[in-house]
Amino acid sequence: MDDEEQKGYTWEAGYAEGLNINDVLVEDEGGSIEKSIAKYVADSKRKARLAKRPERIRLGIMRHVMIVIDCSRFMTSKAMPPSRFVVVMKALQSFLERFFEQNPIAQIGLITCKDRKAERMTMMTGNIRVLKESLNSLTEAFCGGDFSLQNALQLACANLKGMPGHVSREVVIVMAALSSIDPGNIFSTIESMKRMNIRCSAIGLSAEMFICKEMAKATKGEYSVALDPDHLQLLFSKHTLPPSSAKSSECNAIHVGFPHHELIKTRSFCVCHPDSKPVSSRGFICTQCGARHCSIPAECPVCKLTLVAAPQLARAFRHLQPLAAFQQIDVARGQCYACETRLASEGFRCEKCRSVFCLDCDTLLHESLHVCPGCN
Amino acid sequence: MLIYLQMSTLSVLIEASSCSWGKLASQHGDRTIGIILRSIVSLYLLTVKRGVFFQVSFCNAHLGQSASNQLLVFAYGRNESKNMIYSSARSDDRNASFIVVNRLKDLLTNDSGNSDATIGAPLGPALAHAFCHMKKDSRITTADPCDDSLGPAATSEQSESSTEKVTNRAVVISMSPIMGSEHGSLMNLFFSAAKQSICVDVVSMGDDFTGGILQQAADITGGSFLHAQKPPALLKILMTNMLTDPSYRTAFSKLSHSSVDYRASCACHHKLVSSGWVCSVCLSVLCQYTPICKVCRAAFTITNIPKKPNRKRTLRS
Repeated sequence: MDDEEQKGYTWEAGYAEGLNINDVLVEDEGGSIEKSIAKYVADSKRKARLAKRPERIRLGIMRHVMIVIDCSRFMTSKAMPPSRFVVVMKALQSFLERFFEQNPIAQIGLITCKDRKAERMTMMTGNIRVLKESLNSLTEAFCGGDFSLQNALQLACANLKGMPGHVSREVVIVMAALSSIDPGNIFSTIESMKRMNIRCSAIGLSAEMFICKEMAKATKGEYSVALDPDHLQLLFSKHTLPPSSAKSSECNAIHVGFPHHELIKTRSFCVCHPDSKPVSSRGFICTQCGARHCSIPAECPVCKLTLVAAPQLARAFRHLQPLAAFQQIDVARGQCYACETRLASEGFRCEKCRSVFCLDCDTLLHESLHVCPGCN
Repeated sequence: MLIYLQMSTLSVLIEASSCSWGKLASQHGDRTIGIILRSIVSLYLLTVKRGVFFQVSFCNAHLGQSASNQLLVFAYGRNESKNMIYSSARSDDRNASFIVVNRLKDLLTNDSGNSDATIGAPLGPALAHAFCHMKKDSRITTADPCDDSLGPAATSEQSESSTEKVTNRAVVISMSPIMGSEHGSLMNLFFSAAKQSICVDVVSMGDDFTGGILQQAADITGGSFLHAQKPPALLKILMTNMLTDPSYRTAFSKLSHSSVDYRASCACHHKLVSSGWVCSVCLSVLCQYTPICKVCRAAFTITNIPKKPNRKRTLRS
């Protein structure tokens, strides 16, 4: 009898093989798997860092992303303390910051989905302030009802349809519900998303769902389920990197303006703060129509010209020429080349200049600086 | 806001290209090099009558402000393997002035022996080194409340709750314009600096008083950009404008740099353009519309132009 129980059913084997749950999530003495999750998150972080980023491929740098936030009653569950809703809001706030740091000329829109209805909360915008304000306006009391994947996808699709062909169109769904109540055939919606080249990704909060997996597979998106708040952050950070775009996708020349950052002496209103005065005495004047902006990048609402600064464009280059991954080596003694802290056990060596760095410096160099201090 | 302990790390980055120093010396006279060195670090001048005469200088003034202040001096040269020439955290670096002057002297003599006569040096690696070193001390970041800069805005939660305030700053003393090939990587560095709330101040000593990318850098990170017309002006600029933390600078009237140039140079003619066309694949700037990108050869799809009517039939008849 005992033997049979250990083997389990044959159909279980098919699931267990791919998952390796027993290898990844090992229980400690107290029966808790928290430590294993932390280890798993750290491992996947390291893996992501060591992975070589592809060079010289086409990247969809001009990204238009619709984020769908599940606001169904499942969001209020306390499965992730203090609650799924609070955890997701926190992760989204930090995601927005990192996203715009990496993709200065991208745009994000927000969709909420509750009571089986999807609603657009924020238009496509490149302004992080607007997005954060509308995120803050969401409360846990707002959540209720059921989730509808199809309605959410259709609304996202309607918003992305009008975008020009050269931009990379994406939908990211944060989903707590384990069910989706749809008015029609979801597979036909997925098919139409695929036809329109919209990349649909999803982040699950409870358990893996077949339909999400299918959707991500069909539209070349990513689907994964968050284990805990840290893991959720990690899953979000995967979406900050621009995806590679298909060779066949359209390309186009976009008309942009490069305004000066100047002191504006004449009394004027700005287009970004219609209810109050401009935030400072300095600002940007649209090169085409002369409208006043407080910050760029922005699309001029008057003449629809994209306004950016040259450095913001220059920053996006680093995705095309990333810093090569450093080799992890064992070091008994020595100093980190950059910050002169003593190295213990592990070090990271640049293959070009043979300088060895500590873990903190390595992360900083690859995540934000992208210049090796040793290479000249 | 309560501040119990204030610690400030200053990185000074000096261009160590012998050609640039030489150019300055030939323009402003032989004493130039001495004047520049003395404004950065103080030298003990032994005169028989007066005894030891101590001169005020920038680095020593920073170290003297507080016992917990740290100082890093970097020299960025052409074929330089070790960028950092002085760190107050190292135990064997006692006498700042002596070490900085000697190492700078060595670097410049080595560099002058080269047959390579190009002016300028890569700033990127030295700056990355400085940022790496400074992040070690900055567990709590407090950004300067510069709400109109391009960089990410500071979050209010962090600055209010900090009881231990660590400020990191960098001062770049440049003598020649930055090379064009470095633009992309440098911009990246400056945006990361803005995110880590490191303020970058720039003094330009050469002929270039607009500064180009360095002026943009100062604007992004909330620092100031100034041009020293003559070598004696360097000390004045450093002491009056760059000695204090950026958080105190709001108390003084801001120097009016009327406008910061954010124009891009186009890939086809290398001219500065105020509005242009950007290729969606490689993001290069073109000053006029062309059907094929000049950099990556991508063919643009033309959507707005109506198709020409088929004229073949009319020609034949």
